[in-house]
Amino acid sequence: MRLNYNLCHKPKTTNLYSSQIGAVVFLCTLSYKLSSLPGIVSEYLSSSTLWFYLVLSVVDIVEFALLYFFFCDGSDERLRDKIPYKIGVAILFVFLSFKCIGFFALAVLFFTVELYVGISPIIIVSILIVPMLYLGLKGVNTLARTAEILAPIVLVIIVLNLVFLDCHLDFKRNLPVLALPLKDFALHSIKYGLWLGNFFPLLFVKVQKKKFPYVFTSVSITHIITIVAVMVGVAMYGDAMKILGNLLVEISGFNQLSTEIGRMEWTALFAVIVMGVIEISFLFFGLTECSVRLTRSKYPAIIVVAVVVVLLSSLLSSPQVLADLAHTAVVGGIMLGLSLALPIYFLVVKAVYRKKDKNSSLNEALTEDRL
Amino acid sequence: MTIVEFKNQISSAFHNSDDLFFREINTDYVQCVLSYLDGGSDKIVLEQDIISPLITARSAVSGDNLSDVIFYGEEIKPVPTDDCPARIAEGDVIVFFDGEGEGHLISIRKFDKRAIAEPPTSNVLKGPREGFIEEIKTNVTLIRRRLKTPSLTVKNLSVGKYSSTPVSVLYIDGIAVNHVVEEIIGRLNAIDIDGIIDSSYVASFIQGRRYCFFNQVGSSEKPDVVASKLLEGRVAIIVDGSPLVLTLPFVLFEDLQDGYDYYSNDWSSSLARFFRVMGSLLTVILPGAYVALQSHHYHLMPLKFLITLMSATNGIPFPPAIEMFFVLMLFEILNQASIRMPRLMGISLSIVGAIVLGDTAVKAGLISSPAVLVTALSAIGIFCVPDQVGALSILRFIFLCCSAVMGLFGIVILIVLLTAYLVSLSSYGAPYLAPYAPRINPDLKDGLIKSSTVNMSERPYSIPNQNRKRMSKDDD
Repeated sequence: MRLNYNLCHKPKTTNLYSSQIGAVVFLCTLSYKLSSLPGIVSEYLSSSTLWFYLVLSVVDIVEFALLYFFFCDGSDERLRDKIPYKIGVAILFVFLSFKCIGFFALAVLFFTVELYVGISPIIIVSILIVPMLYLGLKGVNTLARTAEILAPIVLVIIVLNLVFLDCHLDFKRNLPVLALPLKDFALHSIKYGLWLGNFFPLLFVKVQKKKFPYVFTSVSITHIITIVAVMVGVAMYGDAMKILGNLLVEISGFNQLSTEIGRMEWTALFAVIVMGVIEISFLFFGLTECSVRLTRSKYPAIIVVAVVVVLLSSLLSSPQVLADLAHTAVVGGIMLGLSLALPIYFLVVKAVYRKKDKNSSLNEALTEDRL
Repeated sequence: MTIVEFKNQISSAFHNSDDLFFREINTDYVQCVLSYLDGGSDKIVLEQDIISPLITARSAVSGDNLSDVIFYGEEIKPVPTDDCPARIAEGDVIVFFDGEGEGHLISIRKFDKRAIAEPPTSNVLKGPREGFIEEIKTNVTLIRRRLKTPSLTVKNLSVGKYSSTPVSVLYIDGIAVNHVVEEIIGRLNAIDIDGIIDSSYVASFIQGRRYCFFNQVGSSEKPDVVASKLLEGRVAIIVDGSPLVLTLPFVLFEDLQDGYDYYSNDWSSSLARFFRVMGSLLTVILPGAYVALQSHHYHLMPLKFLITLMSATNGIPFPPAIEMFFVLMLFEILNQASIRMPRLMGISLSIVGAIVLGDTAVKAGLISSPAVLVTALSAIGIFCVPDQVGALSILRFIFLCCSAVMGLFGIVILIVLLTAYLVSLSSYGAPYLAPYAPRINPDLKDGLIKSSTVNMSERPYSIPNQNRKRMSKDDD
């Protein structure tokens, strides 16, 4: 079979099975939400972390549901040449670029600060960039199939780490619900908009449904795991959770099997790295599809990645600068707003053009009748 | 053309080769010459059924009534004199009558061939023991014996400019997809090479991606395996001179299946498949993981194990990566030597390998015993999937290099990359990692956990085929 390595081509929509979408959703939802975010959130929200996650899950589900309506209904096939749709895609390109940079910086931070202390970021960046480019440029089919293989392994790892947890848990640490006044809680919560909008690349795929409701099951399992993991995390660490670099890795440290077969952090490390790579690759795929729709070329997306590499490896002394920037009130607020507004915008554009198409076909039919 | 001119033409085409024979018959009724290569034809048949009737003929014989005289079962085809050298080179006999413009082909090829025996690479505890041999017609017959249907179609081709190797493409009409058959035949016809020595030559021309170190074409030496693959809608390619029959389309999981799985209990087959997967994973990841844990993440190991390991590796002059690389290289060299060494000398090689190299090197403190143990486990595991030995061996070294530099991070990144690469492969419409990526639920019945043959009422969805129904469902 010949492969097309062209970076310039017409936009196309790839068909994915619902099981594949389920696998992608599972990996992309859990990846950054259960690694770096709990520590960051806990610093400001303390015992309200769990409740923040509940709100975050609701927003995430609503956003996914909006996108689901979009890609279940024939994706963007009839909208590609429409100016309003292109404006939306341009905004999405900026959104995904920033998300890509932010998540990449967080991944580099994790490796340079937590895993390999003192290692030069350029080494991590140059290694992480390879699977990201490969998966992103190969397309969503390869990415979804990879997720399909790896998602069950990651699920088993996370579930086993939770099941074999051997630690004193004080669930009262999740109380009070509002450690801060409601207004402050809301203002702080807005900061974390970067962690929303993971599924925008699904705008460019079409779903082939299977009998089993894979997408629904995946979304349910994912959010249940997220909530349980955060609840357990707060119960384990309380206010000390703010010092955690990666919640999943820390939870796996208290595994009953650790004394028998070695520290089980490596299982969580596997899950975290796999999820992180899939997530940034998925975002990069979204970037490439945006740029193909806007310019018929993948080069703009590649330029963004090049900028990421330069920023993270040479211009900045530490990726921490980027990561901190990602959860300021302004950036977070904009990201939150866009992650909710964009799906609605795309649905409205689709509905308007569908109505126009219907009207024009009706008019044509009437004209033919009169003639 | 006269007989002399014909003889001159053939002789000059063969550059007066000494094994080119001419047998001239010059009686009152017959003036002809038979031309053939020594050792290529059945001499007894030639003398009794061809030459004898021609010599004893009591009426005029020519190309037109040749079939009325000699004892030959097939249609005697006229061959233009320009094509005669090629036909003779293939082992056929050409009869040329004086004054005629073309020769007549009689195919009584008889090459020495070995007997049908159990293939050394695929032994089974239970099940058929027949194996293919190097002779193409025998191999086709072995499959026909198992699939007695007129739907089993054979298309014969000739590949190779100098070798003119006969190649047969087999498929079951009504099950195999036509466009797959056409594409395979098209690719075979497009092969432009001087000679085809073995089926692996053909495999490299018809595989999907050229620079891939994974098998992209299935191969088997067992007729029962090939017959079952044909029944699933695959296409078989038999190459003369090779006991390995190729099958397409191919998915990776085929290499984890074994003929014996279908002749034994489903539970034990599932367990065997699980251990095959574990064996191949051990082969690829274990040396790398050992180096990663020892060099980068020793804190992840259980304390007792770490103490034992430290005491065993204490004093080794090389870093873990170099040590492991050295032991693996040693194993690969011993492996290559043992394959090529005469059998009688194999015992001495075992002694040299195990005692002199292994034991002495450990005692001398050059390599540690855990490194030898890890390599031994990895070496045993590789033979759980014998058809992917080459790929697994290469991957083992790649994983080792990555883990030496980046530890577990490198291994995980490589696993993701490898998975992505494998899922992107496909073979004539069959995804390489099917039925797992994309997940094809009906095909999981013959996956890692094997279901009973009774439950496999449909042909695999992973393989393109025209007719999904394998058996009528019995609801009782």
